[in-house]
Amino acid sequence: MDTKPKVDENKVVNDSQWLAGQSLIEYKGQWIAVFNKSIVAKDVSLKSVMDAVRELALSYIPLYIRVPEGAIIQ
Amino acid sequence: MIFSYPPGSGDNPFPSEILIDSGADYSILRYDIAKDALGIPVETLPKTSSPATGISGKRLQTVETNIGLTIPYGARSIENLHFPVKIILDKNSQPQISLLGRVPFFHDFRIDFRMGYTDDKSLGKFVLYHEDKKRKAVNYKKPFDVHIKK
Repeated sequence: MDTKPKVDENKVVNDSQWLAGQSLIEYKGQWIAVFNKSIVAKDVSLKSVMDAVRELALSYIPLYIRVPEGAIIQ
Repeated sequence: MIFSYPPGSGDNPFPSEILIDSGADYSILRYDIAKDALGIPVETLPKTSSPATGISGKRLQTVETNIGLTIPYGARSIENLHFPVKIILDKNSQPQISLLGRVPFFHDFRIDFRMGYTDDKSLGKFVLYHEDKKRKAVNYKKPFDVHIKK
């Protein structure tokens, strides 16, 4: 049996909508993982955040967001 | 958005965000998403013939591949598009957020940003739907003729 966590599309939408109402200033330039309306991991490295999430053994794959550190234009 | 790779497999699903950028010709996937999240063998992909150029004017070497893309929204979800993206190889020149450019997304979907519906100017609605009312190409005209004197 495949025990890998899966994506729950409804949770992705809910967490994305929740995130839109949050102040993310303290996370500028970092990747964050959002699970069930909570930020459960953060780091400048996506790989480190994914490793931290793996340790948490969550029931579904969280939403990963990189918080911009300045102007988005390149 | 939910990215996956290879497209159509549903493997390595990665829920994240992408910035709709009507000023970008092509979509750009961040290097860390490509390599660390989706497991794309970035180094082995052939380099594109022309480098990407941002508004800074810097020319950046890219590779190109296809990924799967799902836009979740309940019954209106758009599932598993096969989606071409470019990946900038220089890790120090990555976009802040992956970019969703015009080709081919703007050809296949109509994209509305509906603002000003309430007294709160910060509130708006983002609407995305399949483009199914295309006119014949012959009915389109270029905005003006360009005459170049030699």
